Amino acid sequence: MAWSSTIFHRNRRFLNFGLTLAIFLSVTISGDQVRPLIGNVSTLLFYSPFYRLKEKIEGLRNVSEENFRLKKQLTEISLQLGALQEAKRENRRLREFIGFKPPSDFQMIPVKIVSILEHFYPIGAVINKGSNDGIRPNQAVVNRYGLVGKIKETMSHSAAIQLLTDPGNAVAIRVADTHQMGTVRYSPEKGMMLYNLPADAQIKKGDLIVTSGMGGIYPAGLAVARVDSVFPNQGEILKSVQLKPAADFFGIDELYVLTGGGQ
Amino acid sequence: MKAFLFIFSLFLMAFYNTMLSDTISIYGVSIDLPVALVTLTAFSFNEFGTTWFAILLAIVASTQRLDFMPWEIGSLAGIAIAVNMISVRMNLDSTASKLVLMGCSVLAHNILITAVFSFENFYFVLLRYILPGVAYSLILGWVFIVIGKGLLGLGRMRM
Repeated sequence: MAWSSTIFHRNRRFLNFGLTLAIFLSVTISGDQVRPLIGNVSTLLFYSPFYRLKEKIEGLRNVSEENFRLKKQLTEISLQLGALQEAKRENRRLREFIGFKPPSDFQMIPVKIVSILEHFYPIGAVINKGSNDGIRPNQAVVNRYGLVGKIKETMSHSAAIQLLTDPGNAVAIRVADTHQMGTVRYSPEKGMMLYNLPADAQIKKGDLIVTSGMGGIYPAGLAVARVDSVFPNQGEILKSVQLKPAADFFGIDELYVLTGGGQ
Repeated sequence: MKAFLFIFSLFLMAFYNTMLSDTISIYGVSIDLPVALVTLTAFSFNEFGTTWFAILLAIVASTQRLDFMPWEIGSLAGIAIAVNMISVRMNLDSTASKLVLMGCSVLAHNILITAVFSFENFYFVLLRYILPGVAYSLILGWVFIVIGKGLLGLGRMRM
């Protein structure tokens, strides 16, 4: 063994050259057989972990891109859906409004709300039409459910509405079935209340309250509210009644201003 | 330590070819990692180990282009032997001399590979890709030499 080790050490450089040359020649000459074999072994040992890693990274990148694309698509579809739903709602409202007949001698000007004035709840609104469109103060404003308020101020291209929820806005009313008259006013604590109704008035939950036309502002017959609850006030001459407004003041959108009627 | 560095270098080569080369190449100019690794090995290890490392590295480096394999084996083994002999006989230890040797090796390797496969537009390739590639490889080589000297003490050992 010692002599072979000595020979190896003495001829190490020669052996090194020789082996390198042998490998070079074998890879060069018998390339079609040897190279793919060496390549496969090298791939298996060194490349396969990175191939798998790269595949996973590419997969994650694709997932990320797909996710981004789908989110964008979802946003676009959501916007389209929102627009379609709004169109559907508008369509339904307009269909419902076809059945709404304004009082005789009145014309309806369709208006859109530009902004809402709130004081814990909506008390006023600004609409997109004004004096140039024939809108004047104290004209009644309605939607498909009934009375919403009145025009308080006008500008050339906009107008301010005082909603029924404004405590300063009182409406002369009557009970649709019994023709008993009273006044409706909104109270921040109690909600919409019917005042000045005689204690012996025949009124019950669900009765429709309409404008009486006596105040000189609102035409008669516009739906204002329905009776929600009646409080029997013993020993008093007047009855207080809580009402449920016909219009949803938190969801008002398309409104109509009633013009004409001798105003 | 020696075996670990060799195996790590082989995996680094595979990683570079698979994932890193596209990422770190600048306008088509890329690092000649096989030559950089072989010369760095040749500075620190003996001729026998360096040559066999160069052969294995050439095989791993040319796995994705099997027609390159003989030329990679020949050129890297040649560079390994030459650099090892020069560095031993001239007792090179300064970073600058190592970088000069590495630069010459990268240049020779690139010219050889370019010459073997296509001499078309050689000067354009030389100026546009090879020389910037030499500079880029030298930056990496300098980093490796500094790290090797500082952390691993490779400059002082000859295994």
